[in-house]
Amino acid sequence: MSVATLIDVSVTYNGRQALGPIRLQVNSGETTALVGPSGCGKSTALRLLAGLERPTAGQVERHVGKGETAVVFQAPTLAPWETVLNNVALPLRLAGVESDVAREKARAALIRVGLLDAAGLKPAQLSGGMAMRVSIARALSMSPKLVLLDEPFAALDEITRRKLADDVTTLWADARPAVAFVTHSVDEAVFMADKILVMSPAPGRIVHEASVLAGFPRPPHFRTTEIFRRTVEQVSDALAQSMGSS
Amino acid sequence: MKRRLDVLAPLGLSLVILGTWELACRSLSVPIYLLPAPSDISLALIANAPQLFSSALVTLWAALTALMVSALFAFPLALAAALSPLVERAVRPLAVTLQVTPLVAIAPLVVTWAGLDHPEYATTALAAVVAFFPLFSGALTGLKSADPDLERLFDLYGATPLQRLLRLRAPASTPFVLEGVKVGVGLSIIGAVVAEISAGSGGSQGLAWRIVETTHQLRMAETFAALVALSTLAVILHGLTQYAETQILKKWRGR
Repeated sequence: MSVATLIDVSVTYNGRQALGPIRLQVNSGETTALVGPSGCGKSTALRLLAGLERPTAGQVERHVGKGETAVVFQAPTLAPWETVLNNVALPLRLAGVESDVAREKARAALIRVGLLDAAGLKPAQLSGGMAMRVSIARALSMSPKLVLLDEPFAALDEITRRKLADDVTTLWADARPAVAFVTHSVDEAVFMADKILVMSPAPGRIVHEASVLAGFPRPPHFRTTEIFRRTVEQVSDALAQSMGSS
Repeated sequence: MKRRLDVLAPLGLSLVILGTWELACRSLSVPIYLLPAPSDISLALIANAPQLFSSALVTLWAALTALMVSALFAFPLALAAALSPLVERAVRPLAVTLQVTPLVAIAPLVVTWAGLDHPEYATTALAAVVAFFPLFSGALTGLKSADPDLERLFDLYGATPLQRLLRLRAPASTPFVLEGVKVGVGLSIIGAVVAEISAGSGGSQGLAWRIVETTHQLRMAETFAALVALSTLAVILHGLTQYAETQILKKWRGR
């Protein structure tokens, strides 16, 4: 079932075409990865799906209510003056949820990312990976129908990002919201997504679509399986081709 | 060891300067009405301590009142400017003009308006004028300093303008407001002193007036004693605001 759809959408900034025309549907229970060269409009596509931006042409359909969309940015984007718990509770508080109830739900979200012990800390006291987890817990706190991640692990080291990718796919496996994320890493895209969309250089269009037919959470040693390696190769080729064709 | 050196270095330099000064004054027999020796100044400090203390309180009071008055104007205006670009465009040039106009140049005017009987009004007004810009500018910069991605999150979760102000912009402005207050405190002392000197009458009994009075009568040791009191006041005030800023920021960001 479609949660958000971009229909023949294009975006122009100051007369320069930045994205599209592009057609993109994000379905509930499905994780979509957008892969493409820098500046191809991946993040713009994400912001369109989030409803944070309007397209210059085309149509955006969103079947989500207020507060049902969660965005995780490249940086953790936490309020430095609030505790971890209050940061996670923030979306609920903004939606008018009682303080006690919000904190209870925030605690539950922190348990899911394994950071309940850090509830009383301030963001400055967290490591990069912990802060990102808090950001993910905040996204989870509202039980969103649509989750959008904009290069969520780009600033983390390889070990932390693998661990987080693992955890995140496990987290989605329960609630199965519609997830769309942008990444530079083909490896990460194949590991985390059901559907991978390869984009061309700006103005970005979708030039290739790949599916990964393996369940969530990923089986152990998924990165060594034939299906993983084959898909990575296929996506990398498509990416190289798209960049060569410009 | 390093910490001890950090404390000892400025202390040592001061002692060297004071020692040289004392020696020079004695060996060259400089007249006390031109340049009193540090020992003379110390004696004057002790002899005039009660009077200097009460004068320091007058100046301090003027500066602090001015800071409050200034904040009463600066913070609401900064808030209005942060919420409306039109207000900002209207206010900013005026605030900048106020900031770049030398205080001494407007002091005689303000002193005249305040009238000879109430030089303390002029002191407060002038100190408030100089403290305005750092307070206003700090608050405005702070209110607009929130992380744009956090602003987007607030959009996403449909925050009301009031929620955005109370949960995002106001708390995000804290470090900038504190910095503005710190600069404002220092400037308000300068403003009070400039006003007292311009008033040039005994109506205000602040430290600056002590300086004017004693130089006119060539009681230089007392002039220096008043100067020492003034610097001490300013240094203590700066130290206190610096300490308060550090403590609040520590609490604000958790380390």
